[in-house]
Amino acid sequence: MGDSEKRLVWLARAGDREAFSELVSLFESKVYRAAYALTGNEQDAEDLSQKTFVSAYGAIGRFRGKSSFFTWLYRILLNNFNTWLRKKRRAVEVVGDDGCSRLAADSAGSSPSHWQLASERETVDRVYKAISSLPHEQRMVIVMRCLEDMTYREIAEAMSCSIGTVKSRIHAARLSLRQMLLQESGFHAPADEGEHDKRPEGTQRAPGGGGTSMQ
Amino acid sequence: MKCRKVRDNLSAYADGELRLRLRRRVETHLAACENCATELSRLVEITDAAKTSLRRVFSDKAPRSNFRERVMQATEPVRVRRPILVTAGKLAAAAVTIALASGLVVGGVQELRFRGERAAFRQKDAEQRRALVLATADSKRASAQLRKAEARLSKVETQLRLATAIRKKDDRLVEEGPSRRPRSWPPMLSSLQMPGADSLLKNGLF
Repeated sequence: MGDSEKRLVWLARAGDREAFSELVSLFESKVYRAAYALTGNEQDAEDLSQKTFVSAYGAIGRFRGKSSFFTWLYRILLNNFNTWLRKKRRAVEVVGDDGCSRLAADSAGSSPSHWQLASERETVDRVYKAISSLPHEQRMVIVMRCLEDMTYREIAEAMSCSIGTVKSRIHAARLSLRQMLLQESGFHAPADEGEHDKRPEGTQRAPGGGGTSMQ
Repeated sequence: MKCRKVRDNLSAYADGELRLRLRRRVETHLAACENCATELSRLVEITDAAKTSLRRVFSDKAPRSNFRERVMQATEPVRVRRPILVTAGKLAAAAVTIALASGLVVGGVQELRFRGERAAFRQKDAEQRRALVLATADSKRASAQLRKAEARLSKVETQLRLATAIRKKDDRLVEEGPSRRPRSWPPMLSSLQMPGADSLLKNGLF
């Protein structure tokens, strides 16, 4: 947590509405993205995000600063998401076929050739559909890890569970994803955006560096 | 390390979330086991695919532009407007209330004053009690010292009386002549066990 973020949190805890408003603008995109990934539609994502910030405003006096503010927000988001799930009383099919295709088509990046673009769109579509089909606890950990780059410890704090549970959920989610994608022939990973190469992160990072170690 | 245990840890290994010791054991195994190394590369591939997919899908997703305003509006405290008392009956009730309240205020002020006086009195009383206790303790200590001194004096007087009796007896012996004098001289001073007896003997007081 940066100094300016800490200062804003401290001011917001003291009742400064302006500081809380700044915090909302700092985190609204991240919270909204996570809510979108969990609910799969714009309206529910907006409602869930708004509810998250309103709950955070009411509970900020109880924020002790043991975790980052975003992790704390994420925990509130997940609690609200679970309530939302219970209210819906149905298994959440995050995005239907049409929606998924639309999302994938809308979000395809610029690629050098049309055939490559089409191929990558298709792959993004398939992978996203597979992620959407995961049980919601596995989907949550995959979203937190892959979209927000949260460490296992941060995920454990947000989900109020142990690091070991996070580890097994992430592993199970990846195995399920692979299984689902292998069932469809011709799976190839979408072209990377240059953020990382194909080597495992464990071999990229210095020993013990980056993220939280665990047994 | 067995393949099963290595595979349970492969995701955490790929995420750089294993502790150094376990990571080295996994690496040692991976260097020797082609199947586990292949499994790792598949996991890395699926992880990268999930990252790329999620980031592309959500890269341009953002809430509507007035999101912050709506949140802040939703967190505003609710103001409840109360109707103003306008009728005569209500005004009368208000007047009675005010009168009672003012009486209560006067009474309250007086009560506060008496409470203050009572507190001051209690404090003074407590100080006097403390001084008395201290004086009593001093007095007891002084009495004990006095009793001890009297006992010491009584003992010394007894010893003095004994010494005087011995001296008189010796005087008599001297007057009667050397043949009657006992062999040891002085015969009983050693039995006196009197403080300062040696100095008394040296100075010729006995």
